[in-house]
Amino acid sequence: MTERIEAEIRARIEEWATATRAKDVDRIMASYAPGTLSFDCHSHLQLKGAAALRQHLEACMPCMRGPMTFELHDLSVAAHGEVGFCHYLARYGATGPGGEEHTGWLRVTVCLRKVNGAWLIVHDHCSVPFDAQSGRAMLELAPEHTERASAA
Amino acid sequence: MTMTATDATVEIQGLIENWAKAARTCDIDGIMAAYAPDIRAFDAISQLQFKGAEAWRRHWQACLEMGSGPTIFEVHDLAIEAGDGVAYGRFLLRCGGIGPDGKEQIGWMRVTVGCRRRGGRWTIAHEHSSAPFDMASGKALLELQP
Repeated sequence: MTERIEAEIRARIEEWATATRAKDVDRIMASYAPGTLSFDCHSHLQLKGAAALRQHLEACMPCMRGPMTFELHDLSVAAHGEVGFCHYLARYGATGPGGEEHTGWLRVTVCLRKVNGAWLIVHDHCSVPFDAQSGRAMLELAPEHTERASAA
Repeated sequence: MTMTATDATVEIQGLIENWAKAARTCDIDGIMAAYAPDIRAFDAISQLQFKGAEAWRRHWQACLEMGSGPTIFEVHDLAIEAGDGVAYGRFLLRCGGIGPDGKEQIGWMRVTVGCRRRGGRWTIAHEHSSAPFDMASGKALLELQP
């Protein structure tokens, strides 16, 4: 039972990632419940509701040119009944409007609810950590840095 | 989001309130009591992730030593959705303290927690805290208001 639910949630996350790689806002939004609340990695403290999230995504997409990389790593799922959450690291890569390459790692948490037989995202949280001294987003961090520090 | 006043929701509210109170009083044992031993945390500063309570405790200890004076650590707009043994919560955290220059440094963070019920009690199995960054400057946006 739990294995089936986890597989359903993994499928939802994979579908969301495929839509993101395709930069297809309609397809991305199909994974969200109307009342979703998002904490995205840049620009806003929070985005309340699907309409606000859609507006944010539509503003973001023109900033990325060419093919987009979005790989899921280390995905962990916890779910039971109709409530689930999962977390993973994402390796992303995109080309900016001036041709500059952006690559790095994001942390992503996704909370879902089963609505009319389908798992939908009711909350998600995407971020990069910042350096407490300089206040700069640490866009250069990779998972191997974590492993070394944790083993120290 | 619909919130039902189930026993689970009340228990998780209590868990988060106790956790925040422990953070305000720099009580590391009280903070760690909220977490599952196999916690995976994405914190707002320093590293991509922390795996396990031991690594997470070391990070918390370092954070507590950074501040001085009274700690501001307020939970706002808490929303919880609880199922049978699995739940999540999200809130905005107004946090900060008095900096070395004597000035109050306060910012808003976003926090998401994933909870599991094991052995008759809820614990935080996953925590994600962050501030958004500004695309132009590459700096964390700590001054954004809800």
